[in-house]
Amino acid sequence: MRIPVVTKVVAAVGVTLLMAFLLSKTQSVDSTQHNEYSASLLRLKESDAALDDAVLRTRYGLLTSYDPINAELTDIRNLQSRVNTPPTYIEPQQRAEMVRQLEAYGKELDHEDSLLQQFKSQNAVINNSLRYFPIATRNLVQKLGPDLSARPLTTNLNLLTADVLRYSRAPDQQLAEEIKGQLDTLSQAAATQPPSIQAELRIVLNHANTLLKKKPALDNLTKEVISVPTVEHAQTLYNSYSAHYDAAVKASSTYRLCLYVLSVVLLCLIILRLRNATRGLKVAKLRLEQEIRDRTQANEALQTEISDRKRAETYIDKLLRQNELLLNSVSEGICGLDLDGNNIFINPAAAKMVGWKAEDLIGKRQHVTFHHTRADGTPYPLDECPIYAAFKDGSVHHVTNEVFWRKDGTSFPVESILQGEQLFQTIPPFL
Amino acid sequence: MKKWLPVLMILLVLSVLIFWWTERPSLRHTSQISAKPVSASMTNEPITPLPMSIELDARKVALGQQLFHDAQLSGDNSISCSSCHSLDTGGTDRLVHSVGMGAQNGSINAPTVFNSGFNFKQFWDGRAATLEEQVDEPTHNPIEMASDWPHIIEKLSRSQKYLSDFGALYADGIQGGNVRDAIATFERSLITPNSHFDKYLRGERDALTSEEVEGYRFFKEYGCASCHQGINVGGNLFEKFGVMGDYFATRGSITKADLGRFNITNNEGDKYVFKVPSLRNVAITGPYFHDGSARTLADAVTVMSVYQLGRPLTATETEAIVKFLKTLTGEYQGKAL
Repeated sequence: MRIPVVTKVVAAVGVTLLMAFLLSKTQSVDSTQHNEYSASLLRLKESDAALDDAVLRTRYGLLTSYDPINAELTDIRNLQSRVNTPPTYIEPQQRAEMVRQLEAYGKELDHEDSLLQQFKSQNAVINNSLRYFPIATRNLVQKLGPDLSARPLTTNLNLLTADVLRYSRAPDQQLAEEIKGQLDTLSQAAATQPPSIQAELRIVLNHANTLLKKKPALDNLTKEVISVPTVEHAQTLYNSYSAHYDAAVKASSTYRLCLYVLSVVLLCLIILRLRNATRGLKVAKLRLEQEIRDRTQANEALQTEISDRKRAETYIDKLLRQNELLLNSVSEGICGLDLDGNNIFINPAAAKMVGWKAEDLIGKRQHVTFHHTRADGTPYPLDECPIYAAFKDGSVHHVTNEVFWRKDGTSFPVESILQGEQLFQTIPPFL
Repeated sequence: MKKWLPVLMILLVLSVLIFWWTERPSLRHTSQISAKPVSASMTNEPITPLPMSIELDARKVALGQQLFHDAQLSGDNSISCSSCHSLDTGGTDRLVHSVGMGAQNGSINAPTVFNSGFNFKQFWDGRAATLEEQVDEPTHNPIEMASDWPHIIEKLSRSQKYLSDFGALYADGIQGGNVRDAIATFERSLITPNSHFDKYLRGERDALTSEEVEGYRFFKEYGCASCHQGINVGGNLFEKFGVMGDYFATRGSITKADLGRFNITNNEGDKYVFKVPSLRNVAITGPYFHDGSARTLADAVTVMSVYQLGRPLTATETEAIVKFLKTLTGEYQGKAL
């Protein structure tokens, strides 16, 4: 299976990109961010509850300053700004939902904030009047003295004190009506009093009125502050964030699973490729070894042949040298002729007999050079030459009664023996 | 393909390593920054002592201090924050109404800058939730410093020292937000601990004279502490000026500033409502009230007793309360104000 390089490169880049994408998806849920965000949401809920607690404790005089309420509120505001942007790993749609919930929470918080400011103001006023009212009436009663003429006023004042204090403990509508009646009576009675008494009486009535009017308002305000559903909103926010976070984690887990599967597949692929590559390598190695063996063998055969041939050549050379020595040393004339009757070899004895130099005879027709004329002096045509005729059958011929002509024009009788395909003509020495 | 094998292998090993690394559950949780507990030996008192020191970035404090005293923050380079909030005169200008750029008369009495970090809101009407927010108002107000951020930034950027100081503290250098941050940080550093009264709260019984202790008793019993309580002896709630009597009807000529918080919320119930001011260092920060109408502490106590408490005070009582109020003067950087 051959895959083009371009395809491979594209595939590799594709796989890398895919892995990078999967990796980024699995990394999207930042656990630090999650810890901080969810802790902030939880603390928001707790701080809201703590704020309500501080409000109640302030209301019942267990806290002597408004600093705790402000501290809780500042805490909540800081937390609010910290959770106001949902983490990025929450899906856009769910983020939008959370933003809506955060806005709803913010609205409730603003409402609670403004109620709290009113609560503090009203609480301060009530506390002041509640503290001073009994003292003011007592002071006035003392000032009026045990005089009989003042008796109705002091009785009314004592009654008012008791009723207002009772009302401050547990306000109810009927009691409020009664106190209103007493206040009317007292303010009418004030007109007949001397100015100093009048002024003090006005102060007493002022505080009684304040308590009568503002106490139920403060109670309502307290109730309202406590019942602003900020805690519920914070809980909703936390629930909805938790659900969205779980979804985000689930999605990231799926991506992680995909990444693992892809990694495993890639790993398998790599292992497979490696194995295939090793196997191919092994086969190639074996084949190479076989080839080397074959070639070595062939080489050896060739070497043998070469040495055989060399030996044969040496032998032939030796033979040739022996032949030459032999031919050169014999007194018999010996000529070698080819099939056309040309001299191809002439030994010194033969050359001497015919009076030619051996090299002048080589390649020339014997019949033309020294067999051209019969013993009687008539020309000797080639087709009548018995030597020439002897070439045709290849057997050994004994030719007698022939003369060979020397270079100088003299002749001598020869008796030649012809044999072999390449004819060797033996000429016995002329005696 | 063989060339790619090592690359793929490395990628694979890397990705596995990265998972290993990032998948370990992070155990870090956000921990709440706990406030430094204030040591007070007297418990359940409506007033708590100031901390002796406050942890802030010293470089920001130094930069903020320079800016606080820099007249370049005003349009014509004539006034700085300290013009109306001089640290030498109790963090205020001791005028009925402050004077702005070009000798323009302000409409309200300048509150002290000392301990302003402990106020729950800034300004008499509480329109700024933080000291940072507060900075924008006087710098931009046409009858105060009459400038704006582009001009301020442009002027500050001419100084090599500001360029390097801001550069060292803030990534984006000289910016409105950073000027705000530095000034607010400096203002938070302006605490005046160790007043005689704080010492008394911390257990030094003889830090106050018997008259002063008596004054504190009146202060609590006569209802002053209904509003002036907490660490800053006030500065932590709004209250209507004239709860038990109509102060403005008596004084007359009502101005816009007299409407107080109503100017911010437009709620009828917020008319004549102001932030209850802190009484720390009150002896050196007169004249008093948003309109600067009370020249002396005794005047102020008298007005308060009539219109807020709805009760008359004898001269002795007033004197005792004034004596107590004078024990609220603290130290700035170890020196009595």
